[in-house]
Amino acid sequence: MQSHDGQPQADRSACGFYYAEHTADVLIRAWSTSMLGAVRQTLLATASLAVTTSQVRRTGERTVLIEAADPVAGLVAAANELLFLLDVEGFVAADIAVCPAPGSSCGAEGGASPASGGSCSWQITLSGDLLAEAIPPYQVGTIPKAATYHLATLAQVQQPLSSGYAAERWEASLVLDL
Amino acid sequence: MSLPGNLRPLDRYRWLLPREAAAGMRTDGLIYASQDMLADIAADRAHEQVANVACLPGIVGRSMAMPDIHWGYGFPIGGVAATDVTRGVISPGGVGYDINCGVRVLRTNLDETAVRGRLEPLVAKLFAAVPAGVGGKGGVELTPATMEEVLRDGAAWAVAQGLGTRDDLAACEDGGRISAARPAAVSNKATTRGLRQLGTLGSGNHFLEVAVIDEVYDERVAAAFGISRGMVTISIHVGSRGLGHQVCTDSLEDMVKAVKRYGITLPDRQLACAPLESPEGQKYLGAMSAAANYAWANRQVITANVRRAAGEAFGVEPAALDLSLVYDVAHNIAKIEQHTVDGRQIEVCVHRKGATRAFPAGHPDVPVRYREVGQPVLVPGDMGRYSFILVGTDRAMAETFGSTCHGAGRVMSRTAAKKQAHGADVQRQLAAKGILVRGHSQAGLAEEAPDAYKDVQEVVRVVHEAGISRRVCRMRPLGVIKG
Repeated sequence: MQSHDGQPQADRSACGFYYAEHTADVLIRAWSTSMLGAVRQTLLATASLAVTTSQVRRTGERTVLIEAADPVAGLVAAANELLFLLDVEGFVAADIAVCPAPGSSCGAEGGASPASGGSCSWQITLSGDLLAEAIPPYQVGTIPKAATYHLATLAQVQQPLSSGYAAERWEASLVLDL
Repeated sequence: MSLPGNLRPLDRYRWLLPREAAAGMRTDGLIYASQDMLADIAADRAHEQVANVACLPGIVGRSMAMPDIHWGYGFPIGGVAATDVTRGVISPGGVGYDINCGVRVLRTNLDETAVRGRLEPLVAKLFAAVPAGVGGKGGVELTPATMEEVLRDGAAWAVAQGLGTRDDLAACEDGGRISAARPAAVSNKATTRGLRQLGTLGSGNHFLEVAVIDEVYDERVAAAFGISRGMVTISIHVGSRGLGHQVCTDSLEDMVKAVKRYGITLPDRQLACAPLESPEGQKYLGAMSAAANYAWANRQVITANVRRAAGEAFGVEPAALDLSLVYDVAHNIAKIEQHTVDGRQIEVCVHRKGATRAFPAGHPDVPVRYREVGQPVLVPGDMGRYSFILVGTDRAMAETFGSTCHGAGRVMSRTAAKKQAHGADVQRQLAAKGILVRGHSQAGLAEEAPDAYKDVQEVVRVVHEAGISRRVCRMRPLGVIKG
């Protein structure tokens, strides 16, 4: 996993994210080999703005259920749930798991493809810590207000390889209002 | 230089984006800017967002942008658009997530010499008195019942708790309360976020600023505003905190569905909207107005804490410092207003997304004390340069639905700003200019470095020369507290 500003140093890695240029806010670009993997990377990018996830201790868990009309709406809703927990509880994430919600009719991918606009139902589990109780305290970075629909995408793309073949991967983008 | 997006100059400060420039535009776009600003606008592609807003059903007049224009989401920052209340839509993207983000300016009876002698304790007291940063807890704790009162009554609620005076309400846009507020339209999630955030600063570009008026351009209007050269002022820039953000998030979910229900075609999903007269439109208007009232209550509570902290810093009762309110403006809001269009008085919903109301002399919505000269317009700059007080004009009423700029506007992304300097570097650079800065986050300070913003003097010059508001005075920062 990679997380840094600007273009990724090795975007042929299996998964990762970076923060792209956006004048007033933050534009996240994330990728993975699966749709839910790309969602996870986007959420890790969102969480890492506040406190770098690798520095967060795992003292508790939060679980949220996302039901949305389509996976892009699901992506936006999931990021907003994470920001809700941050704002109300001061909960910062160390790691995030994204999987189909129990009992949902979504397949292992977590929903129909974005092209068909199928609905999605996801369970998101965050392990992390509470800012107010953290000893030593975390260094807090940027606190987004909300995830927006602007430039929000979640799509399967073909990535050309040096061998001349192409690999498929899932890419996501999300703008967070600051 | 070729102009971005088919922009056509009307004069030195008005650039027309004809409706033929992009498919779906129902009207022209109009951008207020200088020639020098066009390169940034082109690089930013913010003019494309002006074109997108021109696609909104029921738009009245042009889709406009002020010279602090920059790329936002849906609407550009600096965007102004009015829609017909019976045939048009209301769009949460035309207000933004920070509903009623706005500014108020307090006058004092202090001068720079007096403040320089106590600047460090003053900034320290203000920093301690107004909670900020993530969560921003430490504010007034509300119950669900008192939350309903805040959402309904706005700044008046805070005054009723002894946190201000009736004079404060008289000097506030709309008296610090919009009657269209419907507390029941605000979700439980939104009220949960707001229960412990009243009286807090939040983060990002929110701030408190101690400044001195170092230039007066219009002595008559300045006198009417009760301000003068050499006077120290205190500004408060903040909005509706997590409650407002959640209202916008909730509303966009409703609107994304509504767009399909009402068969509205939009070039950008973030422009999701609904007919103003629809249940979704009315719900958003009610919730947005309630969130706007929360923001006014927030600024009023912070004002009370600022007055107390200033008194403590100077070892006097706050009343001895005459910290009275010059004015309070909203710059992210949608309001139902009466305007003259093609010679007829009609009711429109004016969206101002990073734009400020600028009503002229004689307008009934301008406080009585200012009605002879016009409404004060408060335009904060970045923390290293100036802020301004302007006055509204007749030309603004004629051209921009009584609107003007709101601030400096960003030119550099936050990632680029953080690469350029650390927060501590920004503090040192400003200290060398005699400006004491304290922030709740070093990353936040770097993101808010002066170089990340347009020069607000240029923004103000454009609106002044274009005649949509007039310069009254300039304020130079002495101390800044960043969220």
